[in-house]
Amino acid sequence: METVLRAASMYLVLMVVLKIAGRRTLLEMTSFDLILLLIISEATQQALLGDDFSVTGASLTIITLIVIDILFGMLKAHFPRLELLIDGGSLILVENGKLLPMRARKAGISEEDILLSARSTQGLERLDQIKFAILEKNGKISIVPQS
Amino acid sequence: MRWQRIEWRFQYVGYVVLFSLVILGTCGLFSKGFLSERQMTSADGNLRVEYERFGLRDSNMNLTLRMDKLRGPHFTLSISGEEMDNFQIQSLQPQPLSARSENNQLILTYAVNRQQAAATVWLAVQPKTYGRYPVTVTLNNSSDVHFTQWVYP
Repeated sequence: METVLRAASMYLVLMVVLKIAGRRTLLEMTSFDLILLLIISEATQQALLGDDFSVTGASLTIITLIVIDILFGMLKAHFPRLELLIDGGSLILVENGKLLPMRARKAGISEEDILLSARSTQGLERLDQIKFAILEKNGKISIVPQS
Repeated sequence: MRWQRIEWRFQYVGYVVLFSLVILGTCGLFSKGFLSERQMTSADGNLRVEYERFGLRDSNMNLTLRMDKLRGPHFTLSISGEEMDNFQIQSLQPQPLSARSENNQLILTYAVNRQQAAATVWLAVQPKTYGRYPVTVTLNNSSDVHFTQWVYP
């Protein structure tokens, strides 16, 4: 019982904390962010397993995490609103060459970030060459060029 | 497509298995939980043992021994050999007056007050190998309790 509860609570804590941290952390993965992720996993390991060194305990922890993941996947498929809450939706940042400043500020994304994405993915130079720039669920910015 | 169908079916069966494993784990099939917590009383009711039926290798299992109708200045508890061969005692509260072994048994002696009738001893033991272990706890060579513990690897 303890093992399952530990895994479930850590899953929920991580989900909420990473949700609060926002999608921007995934967008710009610096070397510090990588180290931060490693430290987070180290810290989580203690709370997940405690003083339990058995194979059965570790297996049960892994199975619990996977099952929670599957469960959330099923719930998201049934309730689209839950998916919006957990994963968020995609957000339009540039419409017909115009930056939507309030959205960009709230999402923590500057014009420079959008241009970076436009240059690297589409080879575009200016904002007015972009029809749509969309912040996707996975934290990437997709660019649709003006045709 | 045939192989894809087989894979989907395999996945579905896997979901059911994983879900039931987690539910059983919550109930305590793999240590700590209501399926695991057991108690046994000796035939004359003087000794009650609260133990965990399922345990994990290298992690603690609790054992509580409750004695009743104690008489005389001392009482002795003996814990059988197979338990002591495979389990390390992590904590033993309260400390006994004397601890010794006799024919592969651990024998603990405690003092009792004149007015006192009941006492409790708390143990935390850590199994070192996996398997099935029969345990016998005896109070004053008269009341005994037999039970079995399963230890997962």
